Amino acid sequence: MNKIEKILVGITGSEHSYYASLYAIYLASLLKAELIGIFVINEKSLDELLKANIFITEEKAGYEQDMENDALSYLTQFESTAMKKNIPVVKFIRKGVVHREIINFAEENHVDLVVIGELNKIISLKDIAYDEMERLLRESKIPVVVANNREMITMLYQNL
Amino acid sequence: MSLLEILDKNCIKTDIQSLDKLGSIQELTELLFKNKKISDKSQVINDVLKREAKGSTGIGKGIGVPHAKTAAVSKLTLAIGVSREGVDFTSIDGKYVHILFLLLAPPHSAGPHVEALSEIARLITPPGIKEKIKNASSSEEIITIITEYYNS
Repeated sequence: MNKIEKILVGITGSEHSYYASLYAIYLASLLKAELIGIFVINEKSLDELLKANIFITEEKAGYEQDMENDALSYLTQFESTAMKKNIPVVKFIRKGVVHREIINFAEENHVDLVVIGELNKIISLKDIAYDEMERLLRESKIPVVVANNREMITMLYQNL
Repeated sequence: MSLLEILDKNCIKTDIQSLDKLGSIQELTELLFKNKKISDKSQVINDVLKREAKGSTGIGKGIGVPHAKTAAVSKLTLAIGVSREGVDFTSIDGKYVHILFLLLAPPHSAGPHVEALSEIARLITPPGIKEKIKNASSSEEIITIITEYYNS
């Protein structure tokens, strides 16, 4: 890799991911890199809930549709935020295990840098095992940037 | 996500009095309303019962997970109830429910809602934890049990 040409940001709809998207937009502008946004629908959790009888089949399908609608909405918001700074965005929706889908997408598409939001506070050992962004950070072979410091990120984006 | 992030100890009731589904849901809804977690009791009960009409959330082995999307909450909200005698929740295994997790989510937050339900499913899996919760005599004790689960 001679330069960073493709930046991938995980979009989840959370506040953390919003600031990750601002930082990714800033980096894409600075490095003149292609910017990609990906939203992964957590299919594993949907299947677990069906297996546990907490969801019925019709309900699982309904939530899956809701999550697809949310994905479209959040990716559209991301695109709009990027376009305000004249940065075009490519958007993808995937389904599966969140961290695994992001890692696989990044590897398959020769992404140079992955940007994620600040990690959730670790309250327990289980957080490390189950938190998808934590697992992505540990398992990715592609460099990962964690977008901390909201004030700085907001300023960098606004000054573009 | 930890359930402790969305659970207020004042929204845990260790002595559910009702023996039927509607009554137990009403008790937990009243608790949430009293603690200003929901804006409209009737809406919550209607939304939860609408979901129950599609299929009981009495998932078996003494557990009930009534849940609904409702405009009566602005964020994920959880209440836990324990019934010593058992509630007739028309569970899939025919057994009475002794532990209830009432989970409410605002519309358009499908992802976090699914995540919270998954957390509940994981919490009730390890051997012994259901018995501990069922035998707890205070909300503080239930908080301690859940905290110990997360730290194990």
